[in-house]
Order: sequence, then structure tokens, then C-alpha cells
Amino acid sequence: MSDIITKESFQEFYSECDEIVSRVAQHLNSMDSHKENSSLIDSLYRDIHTIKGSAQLFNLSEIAQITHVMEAALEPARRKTIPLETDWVDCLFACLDLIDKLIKAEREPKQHPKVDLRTIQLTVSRLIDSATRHFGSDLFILRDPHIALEHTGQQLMTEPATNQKSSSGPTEDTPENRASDSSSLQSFHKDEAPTATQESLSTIRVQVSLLDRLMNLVGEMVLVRNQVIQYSQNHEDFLLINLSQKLDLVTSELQEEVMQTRMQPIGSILSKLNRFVRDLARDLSKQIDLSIEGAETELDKTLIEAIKDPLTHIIRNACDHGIEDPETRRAISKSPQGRISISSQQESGQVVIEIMDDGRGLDSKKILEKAIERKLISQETSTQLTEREINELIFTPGFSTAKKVSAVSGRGVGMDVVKTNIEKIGGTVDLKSEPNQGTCIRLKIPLTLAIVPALIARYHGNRFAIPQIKLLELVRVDSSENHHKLEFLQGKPVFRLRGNLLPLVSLDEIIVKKSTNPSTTQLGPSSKEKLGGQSENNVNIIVLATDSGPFGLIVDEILDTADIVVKPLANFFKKLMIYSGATIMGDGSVSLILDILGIAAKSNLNQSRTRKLELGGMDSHRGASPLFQPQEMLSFSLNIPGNFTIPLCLVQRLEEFPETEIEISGQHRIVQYRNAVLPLIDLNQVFDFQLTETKESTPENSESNKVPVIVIQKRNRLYGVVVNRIIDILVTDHEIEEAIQETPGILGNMIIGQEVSVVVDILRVVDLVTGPGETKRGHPSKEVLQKSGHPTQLRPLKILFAEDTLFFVKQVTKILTSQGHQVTHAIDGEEALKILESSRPGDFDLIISDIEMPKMNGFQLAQKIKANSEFSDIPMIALTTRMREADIEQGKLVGFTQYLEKLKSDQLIQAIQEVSHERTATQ
Amino acid sequence: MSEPLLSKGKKEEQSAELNRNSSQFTTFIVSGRLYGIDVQSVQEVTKSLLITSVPLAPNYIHGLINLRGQIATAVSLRELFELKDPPPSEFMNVVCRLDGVLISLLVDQIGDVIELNQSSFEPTPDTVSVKVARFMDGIYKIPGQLLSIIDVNKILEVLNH
Repeated sequence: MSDIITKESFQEFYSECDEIVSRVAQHLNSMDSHKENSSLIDSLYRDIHTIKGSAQLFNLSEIAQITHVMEAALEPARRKTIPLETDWVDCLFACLDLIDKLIKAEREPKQHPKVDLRTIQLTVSRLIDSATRHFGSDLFILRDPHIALEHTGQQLMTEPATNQKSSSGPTEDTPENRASDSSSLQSFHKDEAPTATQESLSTIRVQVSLLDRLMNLVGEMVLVRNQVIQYSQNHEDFLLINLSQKLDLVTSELQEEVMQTRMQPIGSILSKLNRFVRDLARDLSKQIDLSIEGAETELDKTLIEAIKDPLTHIIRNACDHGIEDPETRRAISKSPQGRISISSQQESGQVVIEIMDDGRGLDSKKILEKAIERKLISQETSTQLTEREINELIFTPGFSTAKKVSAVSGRGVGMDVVKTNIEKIGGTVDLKSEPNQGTCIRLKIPLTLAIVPALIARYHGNRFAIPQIKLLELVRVDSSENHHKLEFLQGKPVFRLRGNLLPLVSLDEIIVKKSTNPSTTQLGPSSKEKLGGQSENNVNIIVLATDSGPFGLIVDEILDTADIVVKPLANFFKKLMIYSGATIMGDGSVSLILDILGIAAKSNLNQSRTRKLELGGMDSHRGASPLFQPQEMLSFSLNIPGNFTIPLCLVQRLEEFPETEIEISGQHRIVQYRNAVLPLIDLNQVFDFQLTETKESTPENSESNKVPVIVIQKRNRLYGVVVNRIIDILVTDHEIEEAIQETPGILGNMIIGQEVSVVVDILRVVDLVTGPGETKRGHPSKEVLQKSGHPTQLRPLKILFAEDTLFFVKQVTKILTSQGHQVTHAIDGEEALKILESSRPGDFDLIISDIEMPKMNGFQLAQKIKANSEFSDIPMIALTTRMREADIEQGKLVGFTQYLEKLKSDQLIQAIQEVSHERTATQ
Repeated sequence: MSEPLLSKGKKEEQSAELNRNSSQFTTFIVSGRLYGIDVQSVQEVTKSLLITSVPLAPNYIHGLINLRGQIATAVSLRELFELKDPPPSEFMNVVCRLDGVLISLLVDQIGDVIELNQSSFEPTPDTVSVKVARFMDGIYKIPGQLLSIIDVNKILEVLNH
């Protein structure tokens, strides 16, 4: 026998046992739910029997003994269809656990403690007791010579040794057993044997390291293939071209198949969760049903390993925090049994795993309290967060509490670990939650790590690969089109992407690292030339996603997309921060893979954010959610000391005009700009700020004789706002606080950095200056203010507000909530529609929508809403800066009851008032 | 690829058994000076290969080369030693493998593999500029010349800081 039991055969046995144990666990589970199922019991029996056989062969007497008892306990159930008791199944589970432990202890004696005999005896006798209770006198266990021995420990250990002699194969039973068993057992043996051999023929076990090497070799082969193809394309040799095409085909197929060998069904970890949930439910005295869908979805083995822990954690949370106990559930007329469902499916090169529970959902109030308590957010920001933003807080490091450490959850490792682990493998985590409806967590995982889809771009003769996972879109800016141009803000290029300013990063700046002095390059043509450079003023922008929002990377040319094989770089390249690896291109040359997050950090895209976060006493990890997007403010100085700011999203361009170009037309100062007249508004004049002796403003201006102008747009007209000096773009998390003394044209104060800045209501200023009867020195008629000033008494409305610009979201929400309305925010038309569709009638009294939004604009949204009879009667107000006649007309046409301009709170309040009256009148 | 390395290693083992006091060195020339590296840390010597430059890397890192599907970092000894003379039009690569990292040293010219007895070894004289001395193990006195022994580990240390 000794020649049979080699080290390899032991290994073989262990992995076989692992497989069987997990399968048995699965079967036991399903048995739990479909109480009677003879075929299940049969396969269970067979599996346990196999372990027993092998254990005897390898002289593992304890395992053999336990499996024998299990077998015996299952025996009556095979013959009779009687409902199975949970207690009995639990005992079987306990035995299975023991086997698992024993195998582990045997395999790696150092890492796993030996299982003591006492536990084995206890567990086994519990099973016997349970089986006896269950099957009564019919139980043959007691008649079995083997099992009678279990009352004396020594025999348990010594007895199986006598069994060993005769056992020759894993599927064979000992003669003693067979003799005492019923005939059914024998017949079962006969049909088991062939299946076992069939299985061993169709599958073999292979070392993962071998697969890894295969994978590498295929990677090399792909490279050679690419080189052959390139070579053949330059030669007019038909045979060569033909052959290289065949090579191409075969290689691609080979690559796919080899990738396939590393794929494992996700079910291999999901099935373990069954057991996990079952145990948890028992410990927590809850009733939880776990359903798994798409267990056959396949993922790379390394990824399967990587998602195991995060998944377990999510499930644990769902069981512990999500699902309520049966009494609570009954009280809110839910079925006492909670449901958790896991579904996985492939979706465009990714695997999407959804974990849903029908529990109580996230308690936003509690989350907020905890977040404030843990100083993750400040009291004041907390009031501004939307439901979704609040939910995202649970991913913040330091959020999870270690206060109530239990066996189940609350161990201090929280959802942030889940998030970082998933992101480490290039995946994403999404969360949705409805109070009392449940929580849904969505994981998106790439299929494999070894080969990554990437974009190949050229910059100054170098080719770089950019992983597509961070890629949002590609933009080509043709500078001959006037309104699509790169613009420069303090010397830094920016681009207006659908109305939002996109900060641009030129690889030049990162790579060459010139010490650019912002004041010298400001708005100068030199910087434009630097960027336009090689591609005749056409600029290619790669829009990339980072935690702190998107940014654009300027490259010379976008060459191709390719699946690249990622090769690690030597350690010392890591400190350069901007490379995440290298790859070998089709022509055999090496290309660097850019690290997008590193580049963002390198170009200070994160820095202002970090600084701001520190000031706010917050964690710098706060994450990707747009909710945390800080507001960007353009700051400038005027005649009186102090910072003045306007939201950057309102700024069209920054310009400087020589004093000599400014002309006077009537009472206005104007300047010729882009073949049109640009009326200038001098803020010092508007606010009646007399020049005081400040050092900064006058000398600089007179020296350069240039007037800095902020160009803004209102009602499709451009206006130039004259200031003393444009200072900087500042980022802030703080909200605008209303000024103590109301001044027309001043929105309020805002803390930026550590200073207080005055926020100018620039759109109102334009009104003040150009409005009827008010020409230059605008003291506005008080009535406007009075209207908005006093609180109006109206029925609070439930308002759905669609708007993509954060500044307006915050402003309008503030106005609306101050009037007592309830605001639900949607980031674009599409989301608004989704919210509407999932709402019940009467959930919303009013829809306020922006016109220009990504994905679905306001017009489209209105059309969709009007087309749906369920909510076509909800009044809609458009709130926009797009105030051309045609737009207003179209707005009315698609069904907006009112078409209003942004930042006119009085008009908005009035319009809402009207709606409110109408609503009360009709109801 | 690993075969020549193996045979070299074996040879070295044998010779070491024969004569414990001697070692073999791959020699090469940079800026007219003779240097040597322990033959056991050298994987192979190749003619010049296409180099992909790595922007932002220190000037002595010329870039990355594709060594039959593996990526090696090309380090120019001329820049590393801060020598000022003009580089040759073509470099030779001395490829070393250290802790799984492939480093290709760019040198002007390749010399012979020579076996030297420990008796001719001396530590680096203090007067040698620290710019080079920090990479050196010592000196072997050979007829008509001095051979400076470079320790590749020390180069890797500098790369890693």
C-alpha cells in the first residue's frame, strides 16, 4: 500500500475532499429548503461515501469514522421520504465542518490545530441522537457494529485500522460495512462506479502556476503574432499574408482558450455563502433566505479569490444590519423571512454582481450622526447632502465602528475595505438603498487582470498606453471652430465640455516639468502655441475619470486601441508616480502605461482638494461620489480689500483688454470682441466701491494698461465684467452664507481656504446694469428683494429637481428647502426619469429641470414625462441660462409651464407659488 | 535563454571548487576605463537594442528595452558615474538580473571574461572619486591595467534610493 500513497496522491485526495466538502455543503443547504428530495440525498450519500473510502485508503481513521456515521444517519432518509428536520441537517453540517478541519490539520499541521477527540465524539453522538430521534426505531445505526463503538473513545481511534487492510480503492467499501448494510447500498455502489471514472476522464487537475506560465507564453505569442502581421503588411507576399492571417486567427483563439482555463464559475464562492448565511441567520435568530443567480458566470481565478472577502463582508452586513428580525418584519407587514439575493452576470467585458436584501435599508439619519460624530463630515455640509451622498458615507474609511464587536459584524473593518479591495482589482462598487425596501450593492469586476484594454496615444514621439477603465471619452478640438476652443485660465488650459469646465493636463507639463509662472503665461499666445504645436491647432483630449472629477489629458495623436499585456516595472519607477507598468507593442518596442491617478496627483488636480479637506477636518479619502464635488470659485479683487468670487461654472472666458481698445457707446463702456460688441460692466461702479489706496490694484493696471475682464454669458449674450485683478480659482466645500445686510448683486459670503470671500451674484448684476430704468449705478428697486425676502405661506411641495451643475443644485435646493419644500435631486434627465418611473403617484408635485444636461436634456425629459400618462399632469418648470426666444418657445412646446432663468430666486418662488395654488385649487 | 546562464553557473561552480580563491569577471570599457562585473550576476551580453525613453526618470536611466518579451531597464554607466565625455554612437548591453529585476548596463565596449585570483585584489583606494567608488567593490591588479569591480547590487540600491 505504501507505494500507492505518495505525496501526490495525498495532494490529490485533499483537493478532492475540498471539492466534495463544498459540494456536500451545497447539497445540505438545498436540502434545507426543499425538505424532501431523494436525488439530493442520494448524491449527498455518494459524496460522503467517497470521502469515507478515500479516508480509509489513506488511513485517516477519524474522517472515516465520521463519514461512516454520517452515511448511516443518511441511510434511512434515502429509503423513506420523510421531511427532514433542521436539527438533523445542522448535525450533518457540524460533522462536515469536522471533516474539513481534520483534512486541514492533516494537510498543513503547522497552521491548523489538531482536532481533539472529544469534539469528534460529541459531534458524532449528537448526530446519532438526532438521527435516532428522527427516524426512531427504524435506525440501523445502533445495529451497526461500527457505530456502537463510538461510546468508547479508544475504539473510535483503533477500530478503523482493522478496516484498512481490505480497502483498495476510494469507491470501495469495507466488507464489514457492506455486510451490515442493506441491499440498497450495494446496488448504489454499482451505479456509482462508472460515474466516478467518467469524471476522472473528462477533467484533470493542473497546477495554477502552469496556467500562469501558459498565460505568459500566450502573451509572448500574441506579441510575435503582431510583429508578423506588421511585417507581412509591408510585403506583397500573398503566401506570407495568408499565413499571417491564419496565425492571427489561431493565436486569438488560443489566447481566448488559455484565458478560459483560468476562469472559474463564481458559484465556487457563492455556494459557500449559503452556508454562511444559514449560520448567521441562526446566530442572529433571523429568518433569511439566500438565492443565488448566475452562479455559472466565470471569472479569472485570481479575481475570484480577491472578491471573496468583500462579498462575504457585504453579505454579513446584509444579514446583521439589513434584514430585521421576524417580529419587526411582521410589524411592518413584511414576510417574516428576509430575502437576500445574489445575482451575477457578464456585461460588456465585466462581471456585475448584485447583492440585494429586502431589509430596512440604510438609515440616513444614523449614518449622518455617526459621520459627524467621527468627524468625517462637518455639521454644515451634512445638511446639504442628498440621500445618495449620505449612503456613500459608509464607504468612508473610519466610518465603520468597532464599538459593538460581535462575531457577526462591527469588527472595525468596514465597507471602505470592501471598496478599496474591489477598486484594487479595477472594479467599482455602487450602492442604492430604500428605507424599508432594502439595499442593493452592485460590484463591477473586470474579467481578467493579465490583459487590459488600453488606448494607445502618441505624445512627442513617445507612445503611451492608457488603461480604458478610467477613460470617459475622447474629444478632438478643432480650433477653427470658434466656440470650441481651448481656453486659458491663469495660464492653465481648460476646455468647456458640455458647459462644464474640464481642467486639462498636458503631458508636457508633467514630463518636462517647466516651472511655469502663472502670471507670465497668463492668457498669452505663447501657451497656446505650446499646446497646439504639432497637430495644426487640433488638440486631442482624452477625458479621464478620477476621484476628484474628470480631467482631460492632451496628447498629440490617438493611435489605436489594443489589448495590452501588462508587465510590471522595476520598483524605482514607482516614485515617478506617473507609470503603472509597461507593455510590448506589436512592433516589439516598449511602451509605458500611464498611471492616471498618478498624473492627476502630479498635476495638482488632487491637491487643492486635499488641502481643503484638511481644513474641513475631514478625511481625504472621501471618495468618488459626485456629491462631494467641491465648488470651484473664481476669485478676483476690487477696489475695496477682500476677496470677491463668482462660481467658475458661470465663467465663459478670461480676457485682458488694453485700455486703448475700450470705447464708449452711450453710457456703456464696450469693447470689440469676437466680431461683436462686448458690453463691459465695472463691478467697482456697480457696487459703488471708491478707490482706496491699496497697493495691489492701481499700479499693476496702469503699468500694463490692460483691463482684466471676466466674460460671462447671460441670455445668449456675452458680458465683460471688469475687475481689478483676477486672482485664482479656489476650491471650497463650504456653502454660501447669506450676508447679514442684503446688498443687491451680492449672494453672500463663503469660506474659501481660511478666508471669507464675497460671492457676487453676477447674473443679477447684469440685470441691475442692463435692466429697464437702471443704467449704470444700479441701486435696484427694492420690490424684487422684498418679494423674495418674506417667507410665503404655501403648501410644501414635493419637488423633483434635475440639474447637473453642482453650484445650482446647492443654490436652488437651498432656496426651495427654505420655503419648506421637499427636494429630490437628479443629476440629469435620465436619472430624473428613473426616479419618476419608480415613484408612486403623488410622490412629486412639481418638476424643476435644467435644460442643458448630459445624457438627457431638459427638453427630452419634458417630452418623456408628457408622453407618460402616469405623471404627465405634474407641472414642470424649466430653470436655465438658455434664454433665447427659440429655446423658450421650444420649452413651452414640450410642456414646461414656466421657463425661468437661473439664479432668480424671486421668480422661481413666485412660479412655485402659482403651481402650489393651482395644485391646491385642483385637489 | 536561461541555458547559457545555467552553464555559466555550473562552470563557475566547478572552477570555484578547483580554485576557491579565484573569480570570473565580465569586463567592459566605459570612457576608456576597464570595469568588471562578477560573471554570476550577468545574464547575457547583447548588442544595442531599441530603447523607449522614460520621461521624468533620472538621466542615467536611458529607458526600457524589450529583451525577448521581458522588460529591462537600460542604465547608462556614463551618466551614472557622471563622466562628461561624449557617448559612443552605439552602446553594448550587459544584462544583469537582480531580485527579479532586469537591468541592462549600457557600456561602450565589451571585453573578455577573465578569471582572477583573490591575491591580486585590493580595496578601492580612497582617492577614487566617490561618484564611481560608491558602486565599486575594489580593484584587481592585472598586467598593465587595473580592473575596477562594479557591484550591481550597489547600482540597484542607488536606483531604489
